[in-house]
This record gives sequence, C-alpha cells and structure tokens, in this order.
Amino acid sequence: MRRGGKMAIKFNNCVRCRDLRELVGMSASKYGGNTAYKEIDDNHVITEYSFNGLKSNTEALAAYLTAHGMKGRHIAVIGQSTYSYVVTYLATVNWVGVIVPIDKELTEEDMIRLLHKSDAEGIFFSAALLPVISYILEQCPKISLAVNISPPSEDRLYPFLEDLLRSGHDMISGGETEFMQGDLDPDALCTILFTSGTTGANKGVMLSHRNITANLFGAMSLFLLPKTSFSVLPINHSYEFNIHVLGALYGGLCLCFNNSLKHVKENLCIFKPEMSLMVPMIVQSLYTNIWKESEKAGLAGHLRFGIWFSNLIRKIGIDNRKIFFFPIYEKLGGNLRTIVCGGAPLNPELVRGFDDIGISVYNGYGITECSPLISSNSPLYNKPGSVGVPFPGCEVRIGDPNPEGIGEIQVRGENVMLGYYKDESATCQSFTKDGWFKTGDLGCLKKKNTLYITGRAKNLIILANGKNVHPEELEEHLVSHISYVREVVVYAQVDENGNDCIITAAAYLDEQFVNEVGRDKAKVIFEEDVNKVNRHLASYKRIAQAQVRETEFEKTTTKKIKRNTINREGTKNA
Amino acid sequence: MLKIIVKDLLDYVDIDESLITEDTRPSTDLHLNSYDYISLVGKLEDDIGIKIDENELRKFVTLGELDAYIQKKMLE
Repeated sequence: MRRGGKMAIKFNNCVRCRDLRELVGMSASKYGGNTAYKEIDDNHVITEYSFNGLKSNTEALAAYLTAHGMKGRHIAVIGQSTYSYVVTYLATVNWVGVIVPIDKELTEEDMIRLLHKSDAEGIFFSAALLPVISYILEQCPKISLAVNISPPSEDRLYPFLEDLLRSGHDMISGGETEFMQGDLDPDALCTILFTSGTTGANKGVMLSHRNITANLFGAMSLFLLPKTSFSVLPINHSYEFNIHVLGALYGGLCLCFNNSLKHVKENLCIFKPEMSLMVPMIVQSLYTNIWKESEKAGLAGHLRFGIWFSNLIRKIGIDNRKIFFFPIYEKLGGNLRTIVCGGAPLNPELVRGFDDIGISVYNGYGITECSPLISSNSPLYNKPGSVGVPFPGCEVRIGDPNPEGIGEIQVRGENVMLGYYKDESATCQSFTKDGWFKTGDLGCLKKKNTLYITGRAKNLIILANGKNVHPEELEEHLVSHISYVREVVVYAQVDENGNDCIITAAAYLDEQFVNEVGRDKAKVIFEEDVNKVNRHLASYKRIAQAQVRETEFEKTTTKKIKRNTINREGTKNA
Repeated sequence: MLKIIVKDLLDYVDIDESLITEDTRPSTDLHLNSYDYISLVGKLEDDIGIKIDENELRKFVTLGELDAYIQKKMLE
C-alpha cells in the first residue's frame, strides 16, 4: 500500500456538526431571517425561503408525519430541485425515518423497482409524476402515504405538502411536540441513495448523519462559501444535496434553484450567483458558448489578444481580468467566479481556459459511497489534471500500486458509507480486510498528497496473454493527440469464449470537423490518426479497430458515459 | 416555424443553413450534446412563447417532429 505524504495545505477552520438536526438548528440561530433558498417559476416569479422558515417547516412536517404513523419508516422523494424537496428530506432524516431520494428521470418501472428495493412506505413527489403516480402506487401496496410537493392546484387527488405543513404547524402550536423528545443517533441509517447504474444493477448506498456531516465538514474545509450559489445539478444526487444544499445551511449561503436545464444561462443572469457546482458537459458548453458568441460578434480576435495580454501582465503580478473580461461575466450573470466540477473527468484545458478569463474551475472527485466527496481542488490548492487533495479526516491510499504508483484508490474515514442496503455480499466485497473502502477507481498520489485518477478497475481490459490495459490511458492518448475527438471509449471486443480480444476505440467526433470533410473521409482520417497514436504505445496496448459514432455516448443523469452499454452499442453506431 | 428553429439552432452548430431540413436529427446529424439541445429548446420557448415539455422532447428524433409538436401546441 502507498499513502500520500504529509499535508502542507492549511485547510479552513470549520466547526463539525453532530448531525443534520444540529445543522438546521445552527443555521436558523446563526442566519435566521436571511434567505437560504430561492426558487424561480416559469413566469420568472422568484420565491425566497429563510433559514428560520426551513427549521420551522421541517418540524411541522415531522409533527404531521410522526402523528400519522410514519416514525421509523422509509420515505421516498422524487422531484426537481425545490425548497419543498429540501423540507421533505430534512424533516424525514431529522425527526422521522429514512429518506430515499429517487431520480425523477427514471422510468416508472425503474422507480417501482427502487421503491420496492428500499422498502419505501411513503412517497413525496412533484406534479410531473402525476400521470404515473396512481400506477406506481398500485404496484407498491406498502406505500401508505403519497404527497404532492408541488404548489397546490385544483387537482387534489393527493394531499399537498402545504396541507401537511399547515396541519403540522397547528399541531405544534397545540403543544404536540412529543416527536422532538429523544436524541438522534448520528450513526443510524438516515438515507438510502441508489447508485446511477454505470456498472450494472443499482445498489442502495446507506449513509448516516455522521457520514454526511463528515463530508460537509470536509467540503467546508476546502471552500469558503460566497453569498450566492446556483444549483443546476439534480438534487437527488449526493454531490448536489450533501455539498451544495447542505453547504448553504452551513455557510449561510443563498442557494438559487435552477428550474430547468432549458434556462441555465437566463437564470444565471437573474440570480447573479458567485459560484456553482457543475459537471464537465455544462462547463464545456459554457466555454464553447463564450467563444461562439465572441465569434458571432466579431470579437474573437479581441478576446484572443486580451487573453494573451492578460496572461502576459499576470506574469509580472498585474491581474486585470475583472476589467478585461467583464463583458463575458455579464453573460453569466456578472458575478460567477467559481465553478466546482465533478462527476466525470474534466479536460484540464477547460480549467486553464476559464482561468484565463478569471473564472476558477475546481475539479473534485467523489463517489456516492463516500457521501460523496473524497478530494478536490480548491482555492487552497489547485492542480489542473488532478482531483486535488483529500479533505481533512478522509484518508486515501493506493492499494497494490504498480511500479508507477498506480493502484486502486481506497478510502477510510467517517464519510464512508455504512454499507449497501440489504446486500451484505456487495458490502463485504467493497471493503478490504482492514476496513478501507475500495472505490474501483485507479489512481496515484503525488506531491502534497495530490490525487490523480488514471482509470477504473472495472473497465480493465485483460488480454488473453495476461497483459492488462487501462482503457482510460488509451482514451487520454487519443483525446490529447487527436484534436477533433470529442468523446471516446476504448474497450475490448469479446471473443466466443468471453475473453477480451480486439482493443477498439469508439469515438464521437467534432461535428464541425465531420461536416467539413464528410463522414466517410472523417472515418479514414480517424483510423490514420489512431495508427499514429499506436506508434507511441506498447505493442500489447495498440488499438486494433477504430470506430466512428454518429451520436454521443449514452450517459447517466449525472452525465457519465454508460460504459457497460458500449460493446453492444459501439458497433451499432460504427 | 422551422425557420425559427433553424435560426436558433445556428447559435449552437456551425453548419450551412441550407443543409438543415425537417429530416435533420439534432443529435445524430448535428451532434448537439444533450445539454445544448435542451438549451436550444429553452431559447425556442422564449422566441415562440410556448412551453415545451421536457418529457415530450425526448420522443422527437427529427427537427420536423419538433416543428410539428410546436405547431400543435400553438393551436391549443
């Protein structure tokens, strides 16, 4: 085993909350009537919610739920990013039982499967689910309570959250506060999160309050929060909820919920945030858009010169990016200076490109099983190409490193999950004998304990001659040497015995390039360039077949490529 | 209506306008990524003044199908 060296980075001083009940209480007493969350509706009407109001509403909902037999039950929540979602989540984990966030973009059959698998007995859903909710409830007879968390409308087939809150407030006013008695066990299960399914069947990750608060402490040790941030990622994902939504409570931040991916740029201009959490696809699109708009306005040359000149004077300590690139900031609301990016590998060129214009992009690394943060770049330390340093209290080691120091990334700390729900076998397999969580990702630790991801053990190609090939290594070669490759997945075609045999690169190419040269010619050029790359590879690693796809790869809702579908699909699209 | 769609589309892709027809597939032929496609739809909503359901959107393969859906919505 190899562990990183001693840390030289001075982390932010943070106070650790015992549990999420304490977090909500602390935020109310510290930030009171300030705005915790903002929502925008389709008519651009903005609604604001205070820290005090959140505490009071979570207690009201808890009063109602405990009085109606939900104590200790598992409650699912399905919906977009809203204040109601946050109230439902926190009321459940702080006073009632176990929350089960489910991805709203799943099919109803998948939702039903996860509702069964998680033993859900209550469901809180947004109006978008109304067309299928009766079918879901028919299929899930154990569910005794179904609540619509959208604003009340004429359709009153199901009770609205607002109705429950009203009843709950009345109950508390009438002295029904027994539910508040007793301590909360920080080590007890409080949420079951289903993994995205990039590697097959969904597993229910069990997290406790301690897991989540350890993670929050870690994130806050790395980042000092500004006044306003923009929530654009799905709220059911641990990256968004555990860091961003809960971070708002910790730091007194106002978190503005985007109402649709259709309106990201528009809402950036309305909310004017200083920060956001994003995935690489959105970061890439924002960056591409900056250049497209400047080209359209005939200002691309000016922008290129401005960047060159700005970088030149930065070398002698003069930083005028705020002045030079203000027109670009205005298109993003005017204040956006920090983007934390996770969920998928980020091209370091994007980090540099945004840095040129004065916007810091910090790439982090996490996995749901670690609540999810493991390491991140941050204002304290930023090394493009890496995923930064593990946060205080989260230990990372490299299991069974090869001579280059690359091995499986293993994690130990209070952020590591309790296990997989009702799956002891998978839980046992995911931990080493000495108790470290096996992420299944490959990487190495370098200077200052900086973590680099080099691949995933699960994607490993094992050739018949016993040689191992990491597809990500080849993908990195292809992306860095062939400029028109937008997405590429390297995999091994399987022979009749089920053994990996032909190393294949399936690529989705830049549309402009394909349009210019034509699809047939593009394929020929790509094959030639792959052969050039092959010359720089060990003979056993060489790519035998190059395929060009017509579409980008299928992705999970968190925009990770679904690699397990590539063998089937890659050939179909070739 | 297709003209408006094409006009907005050109903010996302570099392609000769005359090559875009109602049979053009945004993801397959124009290689719009999923985020850019949904941003385009947001822009169309603003320009046309209707709401395009995201769940419906996933069913459309060609620009012609999107065009037909928008025209139907405008008549409602």
